[in-house]
Amino acid sequence: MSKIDVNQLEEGNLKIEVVDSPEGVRMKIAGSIEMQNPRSIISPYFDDVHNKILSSKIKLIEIDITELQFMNSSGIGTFIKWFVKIPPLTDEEKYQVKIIYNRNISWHTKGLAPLLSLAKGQIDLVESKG
Amino acid sequence: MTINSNGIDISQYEGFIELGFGQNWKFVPSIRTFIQNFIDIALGNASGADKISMASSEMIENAIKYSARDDVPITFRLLLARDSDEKQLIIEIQNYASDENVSILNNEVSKITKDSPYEAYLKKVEEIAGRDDGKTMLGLARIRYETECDLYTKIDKSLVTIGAKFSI
Repeated sequence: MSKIDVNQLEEGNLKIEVVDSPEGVRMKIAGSIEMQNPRSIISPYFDDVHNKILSSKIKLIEIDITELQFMNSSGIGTFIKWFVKIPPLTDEEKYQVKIIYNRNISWHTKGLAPLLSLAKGQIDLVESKG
Repeated sequence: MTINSNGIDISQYEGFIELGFGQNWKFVPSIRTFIQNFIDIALGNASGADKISMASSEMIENAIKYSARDDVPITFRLLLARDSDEKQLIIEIQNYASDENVSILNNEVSKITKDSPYEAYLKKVEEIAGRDDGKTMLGLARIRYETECDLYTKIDKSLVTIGAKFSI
C-alpha cells in the first residue's frame, strides 16, 4: 500500500503520478502544462497531494520535473498556490519540497528559482544527475 | 525593397515569418513547436530557441485570452535582423483588445518595467500567492525575466502590439 493514495493525472500529454520514495514520496511530472486553465485541473490534484502529505505526516516530497518540457505561466501559478500553503503550517506539519530539474531545459534553470521565496528553507532545487 | 501588406520592408530582414490565427487555444502548442523549429534553424542555438519560443507562446496565449475580436486574425510576427554588429530577433503579437484590457495591459507593463526583470517577476509571484481569482498575469514578467529581452507595446486605438527584442 502506498504512503499516500493519489491517482495518476493524465490530461493531454501531461502525466503526473506520485510514488513512494525512501524518505517520503516522489511526484513525477512529464510532458507539458499548456492548457488554458491549469488551475481547474492541476490545482485540485496538488491540493489532494498536499492534504494527504499532511494526514500521513510525510516530511519530504520530491517533484521530478526532468521530463516536463514546457510549462506556461498559468501552470507556474498552480505551483505558487501550492507552495504558499507551506509557511503557515506548524513546525510539526511542515514538509520539505525538493524539485529535481533538468538543466538542459532552459526555463528550469532560471524560471524555478523565484518559487523558493514562497516557502523559505522548505523548497530546494536539485539538478538531476541523469 | 519589398513591402508586405503590413508596411514592413521584409527585404531588410534575414528571416521573416508572419502567422495569422484565430482564438483557438488548441493550436498554441503547434504554433510554439513551429516557432521553436524555425528559430533552431535560423539561429542554430537550442537554448535561445527554447526561450524565444516560450516568450512567443506566452504572448500568443495572452492574445487569445484577451482578444476582443474573433472576426480578425491575431497576428504573430518574427523578424531576424540582418548581419550587423548586433544581431536581433524581434517577435510581435498584434490583436484588438477592449478598452478595459488595454488599460490593464498598460498598468501591467508599467508595473513590471519599473523594476529589474528579477524583482518584477518576484513581485508578480508574491502577488499571485495572495490572489484568489485564478488570474496570474505572469506571462509578460516571465518573458522579461527568463529571456532578458526588451519588451515594448504599441497601442493604436484598440489595436495592441506587444513586442520583444532579443539580442543574439
